[in-house]
Amino acid sequence: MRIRIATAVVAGFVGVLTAGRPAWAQFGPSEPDLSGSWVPIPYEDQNERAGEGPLPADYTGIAFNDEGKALSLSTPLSRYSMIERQCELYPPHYLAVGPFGLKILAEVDPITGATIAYRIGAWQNRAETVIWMDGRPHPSVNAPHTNGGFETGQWRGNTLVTRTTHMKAGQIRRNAAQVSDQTTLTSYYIVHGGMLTLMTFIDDPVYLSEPQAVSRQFRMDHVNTVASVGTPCISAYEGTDLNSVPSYLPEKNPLIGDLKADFGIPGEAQPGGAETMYPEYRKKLKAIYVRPEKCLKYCGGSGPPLGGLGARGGGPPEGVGAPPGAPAPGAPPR
Amino acid sequence: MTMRAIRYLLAVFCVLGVAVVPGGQQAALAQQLDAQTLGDGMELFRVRSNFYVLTGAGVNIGIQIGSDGVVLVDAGDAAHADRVIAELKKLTPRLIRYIINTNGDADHVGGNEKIAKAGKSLVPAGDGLATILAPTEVTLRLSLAGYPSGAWPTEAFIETLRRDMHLNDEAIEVLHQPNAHTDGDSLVFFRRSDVLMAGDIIDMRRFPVIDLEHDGSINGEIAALNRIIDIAIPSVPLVSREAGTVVVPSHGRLLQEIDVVEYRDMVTVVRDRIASLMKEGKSLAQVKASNPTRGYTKRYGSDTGSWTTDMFVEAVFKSLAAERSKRR
Repeated sequence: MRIRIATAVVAGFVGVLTAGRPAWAQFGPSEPDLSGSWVPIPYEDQNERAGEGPLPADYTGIAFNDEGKALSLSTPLSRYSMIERQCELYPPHYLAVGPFGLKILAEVDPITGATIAYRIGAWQNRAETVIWMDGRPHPSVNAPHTNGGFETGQWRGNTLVTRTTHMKAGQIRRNAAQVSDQTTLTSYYIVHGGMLTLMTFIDDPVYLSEPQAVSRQFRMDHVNTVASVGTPCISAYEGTDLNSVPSYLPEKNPLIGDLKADFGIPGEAQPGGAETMYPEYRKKLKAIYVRPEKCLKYCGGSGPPLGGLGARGGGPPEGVGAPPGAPAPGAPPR
Repeated sequence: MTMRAIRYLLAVFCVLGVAVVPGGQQAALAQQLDAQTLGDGMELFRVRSNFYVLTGAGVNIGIQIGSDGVVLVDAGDAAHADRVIAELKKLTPRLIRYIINTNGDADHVGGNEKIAKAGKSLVPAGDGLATILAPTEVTLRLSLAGYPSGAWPTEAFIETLRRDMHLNDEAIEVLHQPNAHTDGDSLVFFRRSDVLMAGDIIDMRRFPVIDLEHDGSINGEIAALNRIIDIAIPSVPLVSREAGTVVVPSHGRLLQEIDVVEYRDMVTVVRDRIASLMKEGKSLAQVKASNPTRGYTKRYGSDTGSWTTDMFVEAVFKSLAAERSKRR
């Protein structure tokens, strides 16, 4: 009898001790650790992220629905030169879209050692991201949408799976391609050795017809560490009329046709849409695609560097042909 | 095992059981203090140390509390008045001194009479109930609409577009925005708290309601949105902080300046599109057929309910037409 009582008491004691705590906390930390300085491996989408940046009004490969196309095509880049927008931050999905590294700090419970949250340091144009690991619920619909959003996560093996809500509206590509404040973000932080793969799915019921998948690679670097605080921002007059909101009237975007002129990509592909994400779309374009006689832009290869951050134009000098492995004349775009 | 040993174990069990509540759970509790669910669709947000927002009472009600008493921004609808009074009593023993109406719509003024009766004016005159403050246009509207006199503003202002107060160690500006959503809209800015109650000037759930019947206008609406942007300050130069002026609309979530910029841009772009079509001589039917809200319809529009996309387009068209005919 005494043994049974003792067993019950000890079981209850252990039960209370462990209530609300992750299983590993009872036996010492065994889950992966996300904290550290992760520097980007920049080869994926390099030109878009850190090179010249995306071309204006190039929405190919974005799963826009008709509303998404209409919104983005009506927005000139000068909108972002308005005084009140110059210090606007990108939403949290810029973590996957943008060019910088990640400084991740763990916030640990001083008693249990459990990770309460991971904090991913801010960039110059993205707020700090906090990934809550303590199981707290997401706020209500009346709670503010913040620059960092509200992100919660859970480890599944070596992968931290997170969900972010309460984000602000913002750009999904740095050329006025926009998603709404109703967007949710599902992220997979996959830790493998000294590498981190970030796989994100941006889901916007307003402007996307299906989730947009964006991935990035990082590697741990203890020497070339990443800053954890963004730089300040001071706005100044940049030439945009202070008393107007720059916009293009519907179907009057003058940049439609640029991709055809530069790359031979038909105008119908330029506003994007889910089908432009998939390889099958090449077949559709095959009949109408005409390969330019020479490469005019983003010709790749080992030629001179591109035109520099933020500049348009650039590319190899006149006369430099297509890079090795380029499609034969008449072939559909890759 | 003896009973003594069991008691000992139980004592250890209790002490440690309290001590080991994970910090994360404590943090979660702290977060719940900032947003407390009250039931029946109501929530209480603690926005600043002495400033709360009560949601779900018809409109979002601003609550400033201090040694001078309670200042309310809007009273909510009539159906929630008793509940609002009960929640205020739970929050503070101090008396309700002011109700400031941001416009004369029923969901803003419906609770005026009951809530004013539950309070006491700081001014030793009149009926002694809590003061109801609004521009004269709100008084006119309530009287014409047949509201009982106890619901009317007792302190109406007409002489200026701004009424100032200093209560609870804080400057409060009531800023009349003529001909925006209606003719009686006000912004209420709590300077120290850095909270701006925006009324129905901004409604993130839908296109702004331009109430032409009560002298609302699209250009007045945009002017009022610009006024909010002028007053509200984001977190600059340290942009990566989650800080800045809190803008509280009457409906929907709490906002920051950039949210208002997003909304203002949307309203301006749609206004400009419709103005452009009108300049080409297009009729209302042709304007509607051209879908001038495209790009914003799915986010803010609706085909059903009390304010449809069609009604918004029509209101903008008529508002611009009226201004044009005034200029002639």
